[in-house]
Amino acid sequence: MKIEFKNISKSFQTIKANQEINFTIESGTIHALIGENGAGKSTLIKILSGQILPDSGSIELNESPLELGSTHEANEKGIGILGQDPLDFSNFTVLESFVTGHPSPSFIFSKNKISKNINKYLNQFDWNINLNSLVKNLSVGERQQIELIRLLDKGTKVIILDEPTSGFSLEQKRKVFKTLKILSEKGFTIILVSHKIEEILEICSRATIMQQGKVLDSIDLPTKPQVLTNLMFGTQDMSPHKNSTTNKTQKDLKISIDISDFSHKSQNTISEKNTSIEVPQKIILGVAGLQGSGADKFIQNFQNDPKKIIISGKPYFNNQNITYVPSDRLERGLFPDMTICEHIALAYNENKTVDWGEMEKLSQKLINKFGIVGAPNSVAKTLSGGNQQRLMLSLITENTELLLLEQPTRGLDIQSANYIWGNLLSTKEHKMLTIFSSTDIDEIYEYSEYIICFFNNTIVRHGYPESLTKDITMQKISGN
Amino acid sequence: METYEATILTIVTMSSPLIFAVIGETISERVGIVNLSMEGTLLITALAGFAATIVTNSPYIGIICAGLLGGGIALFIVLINFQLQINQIAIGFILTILLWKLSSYLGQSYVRIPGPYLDIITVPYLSDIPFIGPIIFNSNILTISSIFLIPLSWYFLFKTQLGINLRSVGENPASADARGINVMKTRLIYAVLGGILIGIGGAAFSLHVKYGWSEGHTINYGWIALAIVIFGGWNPIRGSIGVYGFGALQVLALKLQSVTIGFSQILPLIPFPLMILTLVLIQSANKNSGLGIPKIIRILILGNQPQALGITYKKNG
Amino acid sequence: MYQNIVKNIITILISILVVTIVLFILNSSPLDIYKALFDGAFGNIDKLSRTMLITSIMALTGLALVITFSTGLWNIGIEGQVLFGAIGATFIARSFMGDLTIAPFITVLSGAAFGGFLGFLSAILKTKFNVHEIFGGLGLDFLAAGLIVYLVIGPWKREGIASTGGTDLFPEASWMPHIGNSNFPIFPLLIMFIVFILLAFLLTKTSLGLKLIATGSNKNATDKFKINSIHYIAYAFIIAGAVGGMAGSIQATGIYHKLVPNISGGYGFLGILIALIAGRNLYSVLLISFVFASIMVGGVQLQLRLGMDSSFPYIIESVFVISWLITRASDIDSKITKYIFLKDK
Repeated sequence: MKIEFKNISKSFQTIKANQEINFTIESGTIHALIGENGAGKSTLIKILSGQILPDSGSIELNESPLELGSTHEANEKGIGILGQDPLDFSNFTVLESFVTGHPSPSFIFSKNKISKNINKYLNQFDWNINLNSLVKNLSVGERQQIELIRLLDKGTKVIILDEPTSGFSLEQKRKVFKTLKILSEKGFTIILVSHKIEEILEICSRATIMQQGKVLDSIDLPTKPQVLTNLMFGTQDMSPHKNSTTNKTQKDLKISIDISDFSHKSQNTISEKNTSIEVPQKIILGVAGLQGSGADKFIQNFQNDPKKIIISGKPYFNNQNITYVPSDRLERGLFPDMTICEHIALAYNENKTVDWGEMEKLSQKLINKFGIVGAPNSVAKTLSGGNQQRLMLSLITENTELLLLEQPTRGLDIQSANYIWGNLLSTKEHKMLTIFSSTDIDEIYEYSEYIICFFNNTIVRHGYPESLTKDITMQKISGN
Repeated sequence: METYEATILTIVTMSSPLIFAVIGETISERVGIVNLSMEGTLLITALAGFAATIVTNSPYIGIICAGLLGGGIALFIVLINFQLQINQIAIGFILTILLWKLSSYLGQSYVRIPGPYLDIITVPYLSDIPFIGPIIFNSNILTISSIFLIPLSWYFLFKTQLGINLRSVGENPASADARGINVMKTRLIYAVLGGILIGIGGAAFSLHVKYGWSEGHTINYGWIALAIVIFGGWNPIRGSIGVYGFGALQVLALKLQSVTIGFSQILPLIPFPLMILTLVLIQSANKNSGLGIPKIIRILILGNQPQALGITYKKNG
Repeated sequence: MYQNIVKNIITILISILVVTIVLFILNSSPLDIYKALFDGAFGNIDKLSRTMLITSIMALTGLALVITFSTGLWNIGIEGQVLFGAIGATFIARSFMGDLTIAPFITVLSGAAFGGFLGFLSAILKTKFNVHEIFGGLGLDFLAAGLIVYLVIGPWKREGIASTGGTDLFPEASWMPHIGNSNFPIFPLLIMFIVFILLAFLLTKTSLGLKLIATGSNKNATDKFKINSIHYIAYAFIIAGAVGGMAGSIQATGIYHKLVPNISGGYGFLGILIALIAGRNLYSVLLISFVFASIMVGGVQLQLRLGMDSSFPYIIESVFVISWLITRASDIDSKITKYIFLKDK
């Protein structure tokens, strides 16, 4: 099935997720859709699958128009998505989950016929799953396998795979790829949305690169990995990093970060100290990695277990001097119905009673200091994303020695982002260590004094910016 | 009839209202809707069934009226929850009080009035089954249908496509939606169906088990039904076992009444500690391969709560 | 500011309208009903005293439930907590302490302790065993009810008579004290006000209260602020249980002067209705309790004068609450308020 995107545009309030998207996917190909987070890939495929209605534009399947905005229609035309969340039913057996919502429901579902069907596929792909086990007992990879079979059984002609392989083992991945190749030869159209350059080069015949809502280019594959990464991250300023920490490295007391909980690739053969990373005090440590790479988990890890960071041979941080700022502000970082003043009270009040007069004064002071557009009695959920982030920053108490920031400028406009960094930089000397994660390479290189790269839940590289160029980092976080 | 057979008949008969109520609520909760108004609904549908019977002189119309009323109440709860996003539990709870007291008021003129009875029906073939046949299948329509309802509802929920679809809505509405199932419609239909069954349960009470109407006629049965639904692991067969077990206890209490007063007062209160115990056991069994509970018991008591029970579902976009 | 008051008034008016319509359908003379209610609640000093007594009891349960609702949870176990409080008071009354002059104080404290304990059980069932607070609460309600029946026909039964009519009367020393000859319930009202002030202080001026509210607002964020949500849920339930237990002790020592089954009079559940309207506003709890209590006490008059059923007060109250919730949820009140204010311009 040939798919043509014609001038697809979609905006969410001020964010232009898709702008005049135009490209073609030929029938019987495996086509890669790549780009950084926020490039608009997710929106585009949701439009294709009928989950989102675009503002303008059209999609043609084999030269005839597809009715947009309807999952039912997309289903009818044979479009199916397999994502990281297989959207199945954890308490059901594999068989029951498979059969739910089956397109041609017989009143009584016959286990045998359907089991035979599924087993046919399982044999064909050389997979092994017990149909009577509960879905929740399967690994993510196995759940995705079943979901893939379900899509095939349904007669799906266009299979969209949205970052599908993070849950697969190497072995399982190999089998999936073999299957995909067979399917494309049979005429199926497969769209692979992925960050992983290696995989893309392995099976895709063409790739479309998106950036900031627009199509950057469409190229034939295979090609050099370099070409792809350059396109993915745009033309980068490859000049050496500005902030230099060389004058710090040798003399200052070191901080030792225990990373034995994380799998990591050893970088040199000599090193015995592979289980920890050593950095100077009072620096900003940047953790680079794409979404789901483990960068965020790395940060959460220290909130749960601060003893992993050792200074002068002893764990230095505890509950009292750590502040953790999660990436999902309203879900885990703030209390949506409570006011700014109440948040300040929760963060700063040490006594058993609350002196609201004092708290209000403090709130106003912090509002001014951090430029929050709001009053002490403004409710958190009414603040804009940028102001929510500023609020979270204002809650960082003075005795914080370890500051953990997950994606600190995610979803923010330039102005807010700059403001936040201005603040963080000016206070970094007061903290022992600041660790932040980001999917934005520029941000990592702008502010980090030491960098850790994550890919697939593994630390693939770490080092000072001088020795770890942007180029290498980009390659590493894409899995090269 | 020997005492043994009479006892069985009594148990089965006395349990029929709860069978309807428990199975009805099981279906409703399987689709994710909690009908906390059960206590009030049973009262008012018992009244409605009886009153309609008196007025029309036909118990069958009484049953229909009770069923429709039960369905109507469920419909009210679901609509308020869907349209206004008011918590199912809040509205259910308030309705409990309202319907209970309404039944007291409206039922005043029906207290202790006699009326037409349900006919005895003899089911061919089945009533020839030795021992239980002549007892159970030689009774009124409600008792007989309550028995058939058990395997029927079990089969429906677990062996049919419709049953799986409805259960999927209670497990994960988002996934069900992605599969093309209309979540709102499904919830509405089966919550109302559940309500209808509960209504029929009310009628079964006032038209047979405890004939007539009185203040607080079905008192506590609604709460007990809610408890048994959980105790039964949201499974009609296990729920029915719980109902019959409770029925047996009731019969026992009646027999012992001369010996110990007050046991009949304590009896209705027993299902709850049992239910709490069950939930505690289920939780432990789920967490750490279970507190040393033997596997057999675990299989017996394991029953997972429909994940999306009571949660107000909002479709994205 | 004014807009808010007007909005509340409109919601009240709409709800009263709905209640009136329902009464009309049921009985066709709502005005007579209202008159009888008023008379029954405020007609003479005795009736007023009774109204104030019930107010204090309902206010206590209402206040208790506001605390638990702050954490976002349903404390259906409130009935059990009230019952347990009554048991606690009975325990003291029947002991040697029942004859002391300070007995009333001890019974109240005992009620609080017993009620708080049951609240604690509810919290444990929820946090440790993940039993939904509704079913756990209901279970404990029934347990408490069963316990009372057992006590009344068992260990605490009256000499020679084992009936469910109740225990022996308490010694007079442990009855709720009066001022002189009047019936006016100074003591219960005092308890109500003290609890009100303490809880108001708790919710608005203490760190504990703030953290309770935070737990109800977003449990997922509590970790970051170093709030142990499990602890705070437990605190809320213990406090609520204690307050409910005090209501139970007042029932025991102020109304019945003995322990009877169903001694809670359903005031626990009615407290839930009150809390659903009051939200987080404690003043509203007092106000609404007063109104509801007047309806309950006045309802007796309905029976006497108009020969009406005792269920009317409950019908009025539940219809009122449903109307209130629907009006609020459908925003009709906001729309009307905006219209009024727009017209003025």
